[in-house]
Amino acid sequence: MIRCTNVSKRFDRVVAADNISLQIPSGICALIGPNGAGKSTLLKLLTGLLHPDTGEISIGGMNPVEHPLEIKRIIGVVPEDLGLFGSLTVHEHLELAGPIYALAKSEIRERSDSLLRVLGLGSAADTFLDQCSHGTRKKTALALALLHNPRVLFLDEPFEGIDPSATKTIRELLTAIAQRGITVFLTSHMLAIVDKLATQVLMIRGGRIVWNSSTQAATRPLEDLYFELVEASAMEDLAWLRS
Amino acid sequence: MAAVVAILKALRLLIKRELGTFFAVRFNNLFLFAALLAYTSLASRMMPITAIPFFSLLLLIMLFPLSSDPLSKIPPSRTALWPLTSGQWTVLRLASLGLSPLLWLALLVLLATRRFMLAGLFLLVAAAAQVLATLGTRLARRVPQFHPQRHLPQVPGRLGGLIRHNIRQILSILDFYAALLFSVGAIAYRFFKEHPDSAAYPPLAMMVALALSTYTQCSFGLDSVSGMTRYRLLPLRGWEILLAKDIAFLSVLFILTLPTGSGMIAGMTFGLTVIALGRHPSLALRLPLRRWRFASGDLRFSGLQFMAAPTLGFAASRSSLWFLGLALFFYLVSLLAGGWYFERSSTQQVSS
Repeated sequence: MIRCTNVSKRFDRVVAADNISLQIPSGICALIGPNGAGKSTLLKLLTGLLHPDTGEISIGGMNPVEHPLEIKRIIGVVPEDLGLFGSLTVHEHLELAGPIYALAKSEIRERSDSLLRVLGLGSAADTFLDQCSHGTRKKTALALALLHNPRVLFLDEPFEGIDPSATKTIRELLTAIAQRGITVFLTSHMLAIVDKLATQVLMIRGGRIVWNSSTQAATRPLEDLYFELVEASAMEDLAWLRS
Repeated sequence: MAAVVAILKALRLLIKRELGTFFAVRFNNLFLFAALLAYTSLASRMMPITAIPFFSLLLLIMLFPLSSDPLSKIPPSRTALWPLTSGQWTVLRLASLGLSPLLWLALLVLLATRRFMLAGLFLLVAAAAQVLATLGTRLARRVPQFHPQRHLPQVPGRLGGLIRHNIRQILSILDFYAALLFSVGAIAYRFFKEHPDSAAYPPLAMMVALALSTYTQCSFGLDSVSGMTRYRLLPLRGWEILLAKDIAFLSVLFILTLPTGSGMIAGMTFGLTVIALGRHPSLALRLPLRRWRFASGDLRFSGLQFMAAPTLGFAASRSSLWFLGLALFFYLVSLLAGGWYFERSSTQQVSS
């Protein structure tokens, strides 16, 4: 479903994606790495928000650079900044997106009601987004991403800054939709959640994929592997703390 | 006392910074129009009487956001945590009034006119504006159903949600309220003047359009980074996103120029022309815009709007409807070119 071949992206001198190649057929794929490793950049490249300098990306057999509209119709995205309008209520966001994805009025109403119910957004439905908590905003962005029944779901840090019960709800929802054949690609810092949830794990550091669970066997627990491959050098930089 | 002085210093800094945002009005098309009137009067050694109503109108509208309580700049959660005695609070409350921009404006009025009554009246109007603004905000917060923006209906069609969002943005800038006052003036002229002159309608409609016109130069100014990301994620072409903004602007203009009857042709021609000329600054310059302030444009494009829009507006209402067609043609060209530019720039502006 998602394929990347030798994809690179630079911002001036910073290499945010360095010759990345990967393949995600289905299930839940989690991309983990420290801040500034290139997680969000890779997600933006995959969703067409950024164009790669070199290399090729394919989502459902289509290139996001050549077919931006077709790709946007089959993907759902929870971006880093959530992509929401402060002057609209939670429910109005769904009313805005529905017709754009060519959904009928009855479909929008039915899907909105069930998404608001499942995500526990019912009481906040008529609240303006700029008055909502971070967790409510995140769940609204997720509802928007799911409204048009996407084939691929991209989530940037879906578990960051939300309470345990919302985390549980989102985790269960993602498991359920992955079982229905939707490919889920998420970035996260929450190793414990990723370990339980993901069917494929990628580790990124300095814009390079340093470990891919589908091609390299895990010789030890995920957390140990993460600190060995991704965070080790960062800890060495703090050696002065001991002296 | 040191604590009170420290808080007052911080308040002064906050108010000074906020006042800076009000000065954006100097690049507003209505302000520039009033300034031009004043300049031409002064150049002919006359008192700038014709400009005074426009400056007064701008000041009257700005009184609402200007008149907020200086102490409200500090979050209540912070003030509740400060260990101040009731005496210190009283001193702080009284001293903070001295930081109110309105008090200084009233003093200016007093110095300029030497009339206590006028300065007192100014303070009274400002106090009334503050009471109205505070009551409105509290009511909207406590009883959400009273929030006026909630009653804006869902616009039909594929772009309906985006159009509603953009109308809400227009309703949250002061330019709209200046245009609204001109529209109310047009209604009063039409229905209360004994023999209204139909020749007055086109200029009235164009005044409404002029009051709204600066917004066309910063139509993305109220869209946050988050909102811009959503535009890029929606399966829409660049021109469709711009069209939603334009429909919102033209709908508001249409309703406000409705009382001018036949003057609407001039108003809508003016509107289409300012959108076309405001397209480049709105997309390429990304001029900042804040809620409850006047929009601020770029002088070069304001100059172009000043020259082209009234020319086409008068020509369409007095000579031929072909000039409305010409404005429509310019608008369509700007829509397509702007849409292309929006799509091209969107994948370059998102950084990691």
